[in-house]
Amino acid sequence: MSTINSTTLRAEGVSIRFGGVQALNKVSLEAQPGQITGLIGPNGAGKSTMLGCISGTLEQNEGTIFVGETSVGKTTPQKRASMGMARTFQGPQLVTELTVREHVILADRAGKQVRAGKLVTSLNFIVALIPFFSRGISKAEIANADALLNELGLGKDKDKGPSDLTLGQRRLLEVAICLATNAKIMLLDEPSAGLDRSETENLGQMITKLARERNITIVLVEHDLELVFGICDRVFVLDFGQLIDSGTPAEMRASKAVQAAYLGTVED
Amino acid sequence: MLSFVIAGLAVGALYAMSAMALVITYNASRVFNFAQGGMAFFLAYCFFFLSNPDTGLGWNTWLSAALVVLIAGPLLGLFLWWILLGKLGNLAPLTKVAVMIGLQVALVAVTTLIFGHEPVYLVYGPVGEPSVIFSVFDVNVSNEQFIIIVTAAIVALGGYWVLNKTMAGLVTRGSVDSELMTVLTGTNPKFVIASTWAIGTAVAGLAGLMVLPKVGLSPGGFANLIAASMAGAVIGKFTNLWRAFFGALLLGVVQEVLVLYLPSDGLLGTALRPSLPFLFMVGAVLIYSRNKDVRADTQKVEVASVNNAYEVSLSHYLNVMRNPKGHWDRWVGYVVLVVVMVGIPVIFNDYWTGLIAVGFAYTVVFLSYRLVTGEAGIISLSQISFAGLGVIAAAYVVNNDTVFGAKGTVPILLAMLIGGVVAGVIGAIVGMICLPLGPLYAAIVTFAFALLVDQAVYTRDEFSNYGSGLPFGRPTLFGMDFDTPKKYYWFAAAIMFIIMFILWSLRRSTTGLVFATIRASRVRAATLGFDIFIARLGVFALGAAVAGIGGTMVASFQLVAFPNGFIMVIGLVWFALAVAQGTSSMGGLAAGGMTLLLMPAIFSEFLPERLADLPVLLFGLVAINMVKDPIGIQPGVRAQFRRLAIKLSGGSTHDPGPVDDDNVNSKVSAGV
Ligand SMILES: Nc1ncnc2c1ncn2[C@@H]1O[C@H](COP(=O)(O)OP(=O)(O)OP(=O)(O)O)[C@@H](O)[C@H]1O
Ligand SMILES: [Mg+2]
Repeated sequence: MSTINSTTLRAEGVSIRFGGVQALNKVSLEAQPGQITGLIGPNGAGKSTMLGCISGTLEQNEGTIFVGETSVGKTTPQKRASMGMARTFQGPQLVTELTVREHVILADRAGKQVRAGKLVTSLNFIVALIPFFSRGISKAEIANADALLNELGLGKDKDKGPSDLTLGQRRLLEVAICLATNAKIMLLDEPSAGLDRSETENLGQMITKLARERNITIVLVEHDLELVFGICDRVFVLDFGQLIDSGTPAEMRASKAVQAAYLGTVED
Repeated sequence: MLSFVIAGLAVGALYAMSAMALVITYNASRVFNFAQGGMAFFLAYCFFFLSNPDTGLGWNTWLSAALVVLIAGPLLGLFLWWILLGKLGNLAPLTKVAVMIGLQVALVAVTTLIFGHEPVYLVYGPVGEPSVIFSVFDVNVSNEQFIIIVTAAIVALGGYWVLNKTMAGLVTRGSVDSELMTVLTGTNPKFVIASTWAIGTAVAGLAGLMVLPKVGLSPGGFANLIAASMAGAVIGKFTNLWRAFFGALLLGVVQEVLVLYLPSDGLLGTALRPSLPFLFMVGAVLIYSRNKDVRADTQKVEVASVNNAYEVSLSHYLNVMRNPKGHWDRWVGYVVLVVVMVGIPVIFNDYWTGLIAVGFAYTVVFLSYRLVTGEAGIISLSQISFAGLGVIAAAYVVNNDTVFGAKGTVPILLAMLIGGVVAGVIGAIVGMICLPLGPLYAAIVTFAFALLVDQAVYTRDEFSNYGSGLPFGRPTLFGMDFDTPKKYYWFAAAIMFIIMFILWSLRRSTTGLVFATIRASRVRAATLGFDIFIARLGVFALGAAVAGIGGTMVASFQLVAFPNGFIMVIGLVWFALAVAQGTSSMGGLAAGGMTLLLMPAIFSEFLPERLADLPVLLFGLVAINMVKDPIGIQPGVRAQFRRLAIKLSGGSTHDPGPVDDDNVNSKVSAGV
């Protein structure tokens, strides 16, 4: 378990407070490439907050995050994106003015440029501001984007704007954006909310395939325990900002602490 | 020294009261009162009308002052709250600012329409002619200074008492964070908000009356008072009453005490004091932007963006535009455009053709709003100053020996380009100050910058040529002279279309997609790796450059570089007009640039001089109308044409509207 690849993701002793709320208290976890790491817990347990700290949209008060051997705990989200991180948002962060397909194409370009260090270094960005240096949308890009959207079941909606999508579809588009960046580390925040059983299964298969075939490190935050226990390799359980248990899905299914947290009973 | 401190305290006390009014109203309603100057101006004119024996009623000054501050002020505040201010709470920041600027513009126009637009230079406040009443440590204190300081102290103590000792204060502070607290304490939040507007307007009017003897009665006269009180508000981060109060007070004291140490002429002597509000803001912004809590780039709250009124209007518009049918309508538009463009110089005489050519120049300036506001989402009130600075730079290199050539030898076209570059560089510097914090800071910092340019740059004789403006010329290109209005018409049109083409391709490029993302969701943009600050800074500088070029085009037509056409008061009208038309639409901005020029010209042909401010009033009102139509006029008109085209193509324009996900969301967050 403790081999550290360049895309192993580790959090060490992460704590964060919002005013009086201790949203995370010394949480550590580890996610390996090629595996799906589940992060579960009841409402308000701190799961989304954890993804915020990992991706850099929130800054933890204590502890740090490692990508491989590098500590990224104090860096910007942009820097982490350039190190191969991408994420989805629980409350979809979509752009009314762009169509579904444009979202995916932009994410694709962002992924490519960010890995080439382009959007991050200022000088290149200013060059990219000059319109003649940046391209229109090519046929190949459209084909790639459409293939991804079809696979996720958004094929029919690719010319719609996000305001015409259902919440479930918006979540899928969030996933599509994340996948399109071709990131090595993907953080998914409740991607299955709003999907029906068969859509959820399809999504689960896609995520699994992605992890296995492209050796991607995936952190999956989910309320759908069936999905989590079905596809995850290792599961971490949060409750009130504390890591209360971790292990294989089978272990977690049997864990007393986990049952207590979910059933809301107080443990001695 | 001490006498300067006392004078400073008297000035600072006015700033402080005014700052307090800004913070109180912002706290209660989350609306920043850009119209406070207009309110004070209106009330000051009411006072002048009541008390002046020659042109008004000649009532007792104390009675007049009491009537204005205690009755007219609160009534004005309540009235504005009732028709407008009470409806702004949940709008997007850009819409709020645009509406408030529209209100400012409209209030000033209404005031001059009612009371006449001749500035009055000598006005006594309620105190009358100042006289010495007593002296402490050999320093004379005038009755005026004494009364100002005492009044400010009373207002401050009253504010302190209300905020800390009464239920209303609790609620005022409570309603900032949550409506819930208001509900718990059982006070009607509407009542509280309405009363803060009444009080805020009265206090603003009070400060206005007392500053009258210093500045007289003119639309721009209260600008210093307002800029200084805005500096106070920025120091208080808009919500902290005491920081705002003492910050503004300190500003006043520093401003007066500096007189002691500064040379009486030269750049430092004339430019530093009017720049103080801006410099105070810069200081505050630099300090606060170290603290990540208020940094816009690290927004901590993840908000879904699909629910506010702006997004709803936008998605209705986009639904029409995304309809697969009817896209041929643009060709109709292009044909009409070509016919009109060719027709104008044929049909109209030199006067009107020239006027339209200047309209193109203004359109270029207005196109800078498409970059700054339309693309980068920045509320900039200093586009006019960038235009003015471009004009000054261009005229300066033509009229002086510089590295670009000896006096009179620099080609006009090169000078125009230099004007653009200088404006762009200054824009980059201003951007570095105003972009790290949220949208309201950008609006206020650019406002203060515009005022600084008015007072510290335009007034310098080497730029203004003792008020008559530096001579400037028409460009020549490939041996062609653009010396007649008709020739210049084609020159201006060419530049305008080139810039439009650049903006059009910018939007289609990756950069355009990136900016759409930055506007909609900072966290999305950041996690995709986009450097938000650099991107916005780049576009802000580019916008400043475009404004600068537009300015030089105006000067080139007029053959004189006249910086006083580019002052902050006019800039507010521009902003109101541009935003009301729709900053992301080039057609709208062109319409804005043309109306700006043509409407006053047409009005002055057909209406009496007394109604000269009517167009300005209309510009203000269209901006106010954004309450109902937050994406602006032009997109609505555009969508109408597209609907027609879709119908003619046999398509259906049924618009299901955005999927309302409120219920879904609350279900999810309530936990499944
Ligand atoms: N920006 C914030 N400001 C203040 N408190 C916050 C903020 N974000 C989260 N919290 C609080 O931190 C705690 C953890 O929230 P978080 O959203 O991480 O939970 P979660 O496990 O993702 O829950 P859910 O299953 O509902 O998504 C909650 O008590 C929440 O109210
Ligand atoms: Mg969550």
